[in-house]
This record gives sequence, C-alpha cells and structure tokens, in this order.
Amino acid sequence: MIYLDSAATSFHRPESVATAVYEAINSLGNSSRGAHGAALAAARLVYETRELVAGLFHAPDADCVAFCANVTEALNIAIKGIFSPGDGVVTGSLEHNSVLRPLYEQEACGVKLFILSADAAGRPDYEAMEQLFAEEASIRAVVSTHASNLTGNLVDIGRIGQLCHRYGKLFILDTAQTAGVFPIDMQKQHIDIVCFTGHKALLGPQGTGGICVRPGLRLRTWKSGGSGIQTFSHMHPEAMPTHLEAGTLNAHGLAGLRAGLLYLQQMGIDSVRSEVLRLARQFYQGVQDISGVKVYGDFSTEYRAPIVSLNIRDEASGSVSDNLSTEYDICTRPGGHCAPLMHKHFCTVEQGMVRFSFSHFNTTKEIETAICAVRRLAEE
Amino acid sequence: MRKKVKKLVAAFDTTSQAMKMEREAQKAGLLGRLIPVPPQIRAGCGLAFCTSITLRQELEKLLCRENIRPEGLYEVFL
Repeated sequence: MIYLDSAATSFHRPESVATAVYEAINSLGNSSRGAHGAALAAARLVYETRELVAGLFHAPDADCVAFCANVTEALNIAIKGIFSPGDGVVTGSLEHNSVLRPLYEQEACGVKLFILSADAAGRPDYEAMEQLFAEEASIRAVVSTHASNLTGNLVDIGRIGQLCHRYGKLFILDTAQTAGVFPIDMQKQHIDIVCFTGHKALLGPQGTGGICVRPGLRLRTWKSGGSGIQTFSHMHPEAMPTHLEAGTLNAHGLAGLRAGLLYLQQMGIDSVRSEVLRLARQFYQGVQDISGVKVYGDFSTEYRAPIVSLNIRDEASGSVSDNLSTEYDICTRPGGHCAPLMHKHFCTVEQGMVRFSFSHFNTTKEIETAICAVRRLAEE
Repeated sequence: MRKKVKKLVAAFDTTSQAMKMEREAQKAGLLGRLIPVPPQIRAGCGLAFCTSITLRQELEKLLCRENIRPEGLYEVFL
C-alpha cells in the first residue's frame, strides 16, 4: 500500500511512538490526581510534553500549553471562548470547517463575521485584510489557517501577525497542516493562540492536540469539572493550563505525541520539511502536464504545504480516488475535505478534488508509482 | 505512622507548576519531593513540594531564579 493521505492523518510513524503508548498504558497513573509514583510518572510525562510543544511553537512557557483531543477542539475552545456579541472577526476562504462552523455559530450569536476572498490561485488577500482593519473598528481577531488543507497554499503568518500587532488585533492560528513541518514562532510572529493537532505531522496518536495561549489572554472556560486542585471551589481553576483541561488527560496518547516530538527534534523539522517538499514537488512535476489533469493551487513557490490536489477531466473525485485504491493500492482523499469555500472558489463543489498529501517517510519510488497511476487513469 | 516533624512546603495552583518545581529542584540539587497538598494548607487535592525548613533560602532563590510561582510557602508538621 502507498499511503498518500498524510494531510488526513499520519500513517507512517517512528516506532518509538507506538512503543511509548504501549509503555504508558502499562505504567502510568492519572496525571494531577495524587502524588504516588504512577500518578507522578504521568504528570512528569504530561509536563515534558508541554515543554516540547512550548519549544516547538516558541511559547513563553509550558503553562501556555493546554491539551485537548485535536485541532478542531482547540479551535472551538479558542473561538467560543473569546468572542462576545458585537465583536468582529476576520477569516478567509482557505479555511476548514473546524474554523468556519464555530465562526458561523458565533455569527448567529451576534459576532460580526468577515470572510475574505482568495485570488485566482487560492491565495489569501492580505491587502483586503489590512483595509478591513482600517475601516472596521469592531474587529477583535483574525482566525487563519497556516495552510489550505485542500491546495497546500501557505499563508504568510508573519505578515498577518505583523498586521494584527500593528492594529491591536488578536491572531488565532490553525496549524493542522503545518505543525511539525514549518517553523512557527508565537512570539516573533505575534500569534496569540496556536491550535494544533498531534496526529498529523507531529506524528502522535489520534486523540491528541492542544492550544497554546499567550500569557495574559483569558479564554472563557470551555468545560469544567475534575481538575485535581481546588476541590471545594464552585468554579473551575483560573490558572493555565488547568483552566482549559477539565477531566483526565489522554496521557497515554500524549506519551506517543512526546515520542513524535522527540523524533522531530532529533531529525530537525528543516530536514523533514526539505524531504517532504521534495517528494511533493516530484509528484507535482510528474502530473502537471498529463493531458486531462488539472492541479489546483499556487505552485509558483516551493514554500507550500506538501499537498497536491487534482482532478482528471470531469471525473468525480471519489471515482478517481476509488480507482487509485482498488487498482493501485494508493490511498488518497477525495471529496470536499471540509473546505467548502475553497471548492466554491475553484468551482469544484460537485466534483470535489483528489488530494495527494505526503510524508517524509514516503519514497521517490512511491511517488513515481503514483504519477504512473494518475497517467494511466487519465489515458483511460 | 511516621513521627511528625516541621517541614517547608510550597503549594501550587497547578500541577504544571509543581512539575516545574520538581524538575528545577532536581537540577539544582535541592532535596525534596512532591506530596499531596497537606490539609493544614488547603483541603482537597493538589500537589506541593516538601523540603527541609533549613532549605528555605535555597528554595526561595530557586523559585525566583526559575520564575516558579507557588501559591504560598508554609511550615507545617508532616
């Protein structure tokens, strides 16, 4: 099997990830619940994982990092915890439903939602964002992805961070497709909240993710309950990260995430990025000129997420993906990819797209096989 | 039960700060360990770092140097 669906979830992981989960499930107690050996072992592991995440995103300290189930949950925590009726929020058409749906819900509660269009290649319009900042006083924040999960187009988060900083707006970043591949610096890039998932390029298990919140920025409690502290208070503790972490943490999963982060630290994300972008570029160059194949997105730059989405003439993307699976044992993702506005933008609502997304664990040979498969399907 | 002696205890608002305390104490060679927060300090759950009362100065220096924020320092019989 050739797995080219890493934008959905990682399939190839270092062995250390599974080993860490296995060892954790056989050895850990409950973090923050008591001071016996097994409980402290869990608490130490969780804390070490916080430190690794804080280091990855250049968060000021480990207490900024609260864990949750995935990036969708993190985005819900951020979006539903920060806005009040009358606040304005800016986002764009590159966004995933994990951003759009919570924002639409907020809009229904009186938040003003401004959605910026993309250009022909699906790139964000930074000038329109600045103009909106200048004209619309209600705007409190920008919520942006770091890369389109459909086209792989990268967003210039340094530029957005600068704009937000200059105009006094909050910047909430969705790193689903970039954490572990591209450098992200909360402090230098003026990012107030980073939302991440553990199971994609961070190479951890599904069910891991989190939110890094700049110190001093308070989110309304997203859930309340067991905290392992302040038992007799009627309110959930205010201090981060406990404030956003009611209930037992997924320490077993976090053990795997920690192993993934340590692997990336050892490899260096620059090296991982270089290899995965080389493979993505190889695939793009192999398919771009095939008659009947249309590739979407901006390939004028090398600096993009390792995603190539395409269609073959007017074939339904589901049919192409199914052919790739059944005839070539190649795993790809068809359909809408939870990115409704990008599909409207490219007029592919009905057809969808076939998304090929890569990992540095893929090989040149696998990419060659995938190119051949696309060529044959296009010739049929 | 052990005979009770007076100890110096740093109590924390979050497990995260308690873990940082443990880590930095270990690095600095400051003797002590994490314990359940004693009821003389606060009823309910939570973690505290327990050390000898003779190490107050070293502990305070470490807290300051590493920006560790305990809820408070207490001398209690444990």
